[in-house]
Amino acid sequence: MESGSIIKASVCGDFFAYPEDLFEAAEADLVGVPADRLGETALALFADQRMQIIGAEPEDIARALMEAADAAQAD
Amino acid sequence: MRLRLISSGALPGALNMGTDEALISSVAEGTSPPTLRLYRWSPPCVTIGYFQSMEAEVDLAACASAKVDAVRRLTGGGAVFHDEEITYSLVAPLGHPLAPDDILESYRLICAGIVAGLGLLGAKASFVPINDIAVNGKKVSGNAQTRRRGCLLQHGTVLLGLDARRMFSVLRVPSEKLRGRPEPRAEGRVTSLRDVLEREVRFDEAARALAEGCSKAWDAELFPDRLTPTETAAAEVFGRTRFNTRAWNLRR
Repeated sequence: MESGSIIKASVCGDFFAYPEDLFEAAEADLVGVPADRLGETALALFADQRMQIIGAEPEDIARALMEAADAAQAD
Repeated sequence: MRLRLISSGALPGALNMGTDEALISSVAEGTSPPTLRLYRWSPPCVTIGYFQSMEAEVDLAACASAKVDAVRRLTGGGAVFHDEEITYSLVAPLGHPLAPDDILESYRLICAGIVAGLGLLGAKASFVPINDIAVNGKKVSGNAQTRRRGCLLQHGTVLLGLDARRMFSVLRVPSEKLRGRPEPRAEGRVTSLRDVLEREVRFDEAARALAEGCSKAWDAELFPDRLTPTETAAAEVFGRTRFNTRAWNLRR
């Protein structure tokens, strides 16, 4: 995070996403998003119907990102 | 259906993953038919899923000390310690009977071959969606699939034996995975054919059984063959320039 906005997002875990490059594009689309809009933006991006995520729900991913952003801002 | 059957022996992790990528290339280009490959790992190797963090999942210092390789896969899923096992990979074009649009269904179809092979060895196995195979409620096989370049690659392992102490010396097991579970030790969730059948199962015996099981379950004729010279060369290049690089393995 920098100045309250995302400069890089990386979602790591034991899951599958098809196609993989759409998932990575969603991560890249989070760059520049302000922290107070991270949850809704992440939810929209990872709920993209062109992508199938197995082993994680968009809500889980959005929540993990928000927790990480909170931790980053607290540092 | 007809499938090429390749037994490529024991290779380092980077070359094994390079070979799987070489098969995607050749099947995508139409220069090779759908292929089932059976192989193993030397030296032992940890592979992590495409979306995992290497540092979070693997103790790289312990790997170096134990001479265990660590490689990121093209496929998602979790971390796997490859040692006493038989690994398979299946590469087929999308639309092939084993590669329907429904990804969960394709896992089921492909794993049915492994289940059948385990049955021929005397192990009563069952498919546990999404991508596991279990005997007596314990996982004996994990499987992972990616779809790239118009092809499906699914690879998976069957544990022939399990050195749990060695495995957990190189894998980081987050405490939250164990929290609240009835068995306090993670190794209680996995088993091996040696434990299930109470005898050693050698690689060659397992390979014959898996090939026969896949042939029956998939109604497929398997014809033994070798990698083409182009595939062998591509496997070496992919292994060297992707799977053996810090840029790839530490990208997350």
